[in-house]
Amino acid sequence: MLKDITLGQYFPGNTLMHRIDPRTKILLVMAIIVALFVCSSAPAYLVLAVYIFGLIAVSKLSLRMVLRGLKPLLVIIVFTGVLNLFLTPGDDILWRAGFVSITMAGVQKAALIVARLVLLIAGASLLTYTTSPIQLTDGLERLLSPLKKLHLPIHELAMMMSLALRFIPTLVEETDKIMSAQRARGADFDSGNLLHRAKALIPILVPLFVSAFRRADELATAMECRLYRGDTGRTRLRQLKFGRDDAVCAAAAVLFLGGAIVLQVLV
Amino acid sequence: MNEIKREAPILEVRGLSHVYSAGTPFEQKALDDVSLSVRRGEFIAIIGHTGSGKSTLIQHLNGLLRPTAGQVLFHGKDIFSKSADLRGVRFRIGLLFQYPEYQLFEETVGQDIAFGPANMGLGNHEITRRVADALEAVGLPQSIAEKSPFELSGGQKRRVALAGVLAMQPEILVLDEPTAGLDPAGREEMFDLIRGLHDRRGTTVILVTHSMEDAARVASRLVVMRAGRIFLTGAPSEVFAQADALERSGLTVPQVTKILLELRRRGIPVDTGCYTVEQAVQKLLACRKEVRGC
Amino acid sequence: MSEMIQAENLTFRYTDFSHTTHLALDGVNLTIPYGQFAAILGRNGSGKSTFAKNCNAIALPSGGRVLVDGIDTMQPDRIWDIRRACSMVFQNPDNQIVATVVEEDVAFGLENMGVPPKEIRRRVNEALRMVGMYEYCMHAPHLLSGGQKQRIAIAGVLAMEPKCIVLDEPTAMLDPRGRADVMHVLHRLHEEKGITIVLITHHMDEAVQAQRVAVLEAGHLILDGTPREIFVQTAKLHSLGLTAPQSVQLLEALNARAQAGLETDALTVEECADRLEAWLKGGRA
Repeated sequence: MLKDITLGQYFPGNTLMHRIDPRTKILLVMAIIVALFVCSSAPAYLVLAVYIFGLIAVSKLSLRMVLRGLKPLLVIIVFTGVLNLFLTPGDDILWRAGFVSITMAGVQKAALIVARLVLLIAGASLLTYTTSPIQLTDGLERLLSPLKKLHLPIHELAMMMSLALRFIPTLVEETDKIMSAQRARGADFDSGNLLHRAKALIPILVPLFVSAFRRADELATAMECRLYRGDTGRTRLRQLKFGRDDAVCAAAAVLFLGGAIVLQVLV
Repeated sequence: MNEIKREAPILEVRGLSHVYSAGTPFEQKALDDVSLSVRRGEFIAIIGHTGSGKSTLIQHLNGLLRPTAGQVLFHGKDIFSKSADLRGVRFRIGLLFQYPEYQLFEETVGQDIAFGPANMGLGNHEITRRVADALEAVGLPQSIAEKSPFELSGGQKRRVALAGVLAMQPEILVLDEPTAGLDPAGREEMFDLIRGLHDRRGTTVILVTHSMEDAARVASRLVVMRAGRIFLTGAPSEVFAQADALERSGLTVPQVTKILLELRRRGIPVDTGCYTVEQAVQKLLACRKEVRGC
Repeated sequence: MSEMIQAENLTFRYTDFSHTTHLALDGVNLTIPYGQFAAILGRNGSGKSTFAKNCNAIALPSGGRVLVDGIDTMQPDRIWDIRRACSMVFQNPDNQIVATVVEEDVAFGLENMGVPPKEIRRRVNEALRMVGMYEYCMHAPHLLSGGQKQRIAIAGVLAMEPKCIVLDEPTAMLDPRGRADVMHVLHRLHEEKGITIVLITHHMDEAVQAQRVAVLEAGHLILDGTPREIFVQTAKLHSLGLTAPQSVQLLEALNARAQAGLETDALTVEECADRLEAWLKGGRA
């Protein structure tokens, strides 16, 4: 169940996209998102599509995997597409049945929305597929660190995120164990109506919460023993450094994204 | 010659194999063609390292895991067949997991113990009777039934969890490392309790442990597992007769057994098939007679 | 010359669920010199974990005082010095690993100390080699066995280069192989690095391997001596909910049964076999 979600999963590798600094990748994806919203013409989108799928090819990610990441969002994509197709007013009517009509503008708008969503998800998954969670939190923390001056708890948020990532597999395993144990006492999680099923979760949730609190308490003590005191005076094992690879990627991004925007403005 | 009429086994495992994550890079064969039969009233210990397949095996016994191949027969009926009532089987083969105190969830001890019987659909009167009975069986006072499980000590919580399984009055009791994390006195008490359940109530017991010593002390038959297969099986004295094979396969044997093995290595003709201090004393006295006789 | 850990008349009080006050430690005097491998034995609830927590200021005395590396734990401004000198490893390996990659976890303490990245790298590699887990440096901790996780936890504190490591029942949740691996690592740290080891345990066979054994019962220090002095007291140990090694029990039983007249203080298989061999081959009945 939980294993089927590919969006947000990391696939280890050693390609250009895997090697570059996570900050570069985060900025890259943000630039892609901006470009996708600025552009709306077909030629510009063609350039963007070539660029994004080019990056996917460079990262040696299988196209099937990326497309599988779209699956959970398929309903939303189809729904927005259809809504735009039928409900966009315009003069150039292609087809009409009662008060529903398809206009040329509608077709264009629907195609744009679908392309935008697909490319958005493909671009975002490019980031999560090639960046380990720890690099991602690291990159985010560094990028957002200027906000610390405004007394925003950036380090604490990043630490929380990485601890959550650390304990997700542990808690999944624990949930599994507790479910088996309650099943052995005849608990039934799979039948009955919604209310019945919700009630059946209590024997899982109570022990899970109790255990999570115990773990949190012990973890906090262990962290204190290892001299954790927040961000002050902290160094890092892994230094983030911009290198040649990052420059190459940045240049390519300026070329393609800039090109798309120029096309959008001129054509 | 009269053929001894043997009672049919209460539980039988035939050619059981289990593969985790089949078809992925994480594929792992946890059980490989395991066969085992359990008679009514037996006390069996399954011994092996983490990863030997012992935990996987017992989760098949009441149908929590489905086998990749093979069968589990309870009273001669395949528990995985379409006509079988798997949930019903779980009430008759009680399984207590490792660190069971972490599964307690109800407001009071009494309600927690009642969880199994209530799932069985028993009437209130019967449930109350069983809760009282189970508390007595694990040696806890009746007054504890009104307390919150989270107020109890670690050892008491574990007993409450055991009571929760006993309240279903299972024919077979399967226990996964029931003494894990307890101190020597706590372990002793837990073993006394389990032995009492077996001796007084006639419950068939299957105990899973990684301690040869504990297993030999309480069980009448040992099943030693290694790498998903049954490696050795027999009465404790038979299994310990091969103590050097056990040691070589990385299982820790009791210190007395090691001492006798060491004497044997030094050329002293002592019988090494023993595992308690008392047995070792007997063997050594016999050996001394023999050595001095020559 | 000060001692590594010096507990003077240490008392610790706590209040439970039902607001009753308990004395977990009641006037304990215990001194552990630099470089010693000490085991603290006792049944559950004897106060041994509370003692461990007092050794690096996770718990502070209600009475008496504790000096760690010569520093009184009641000085709040010295707490970081105390914890750098004396690290701690806990029972549940899962609940002390903070990172999703082994080497990141080992680096955690050093990052908090502000050690330069190059030096972090060197110390992380060395610590992982010491505990025999170097080849796992890029692994995800949740996929390791209990014994391996515990060795990662030990590497995490080892990298901080403490003078003393206190371990609170580090093997209680491990299987025999994991326990043996952890014990092997502790001996290595003690012998090669000269680190003071304080091992809290209820496994008699682990305490046998220490240089010194202290036994706590109901918050009091009941026995204190070398393993040889402690483990011959079979009856006393039994009354404390502990057991003596089978080697001692066996020799005692032979003495009682056959007036064998054997010295009972044999703690290892070899020692015991030596005595039995001599008794079997020669001597009078």
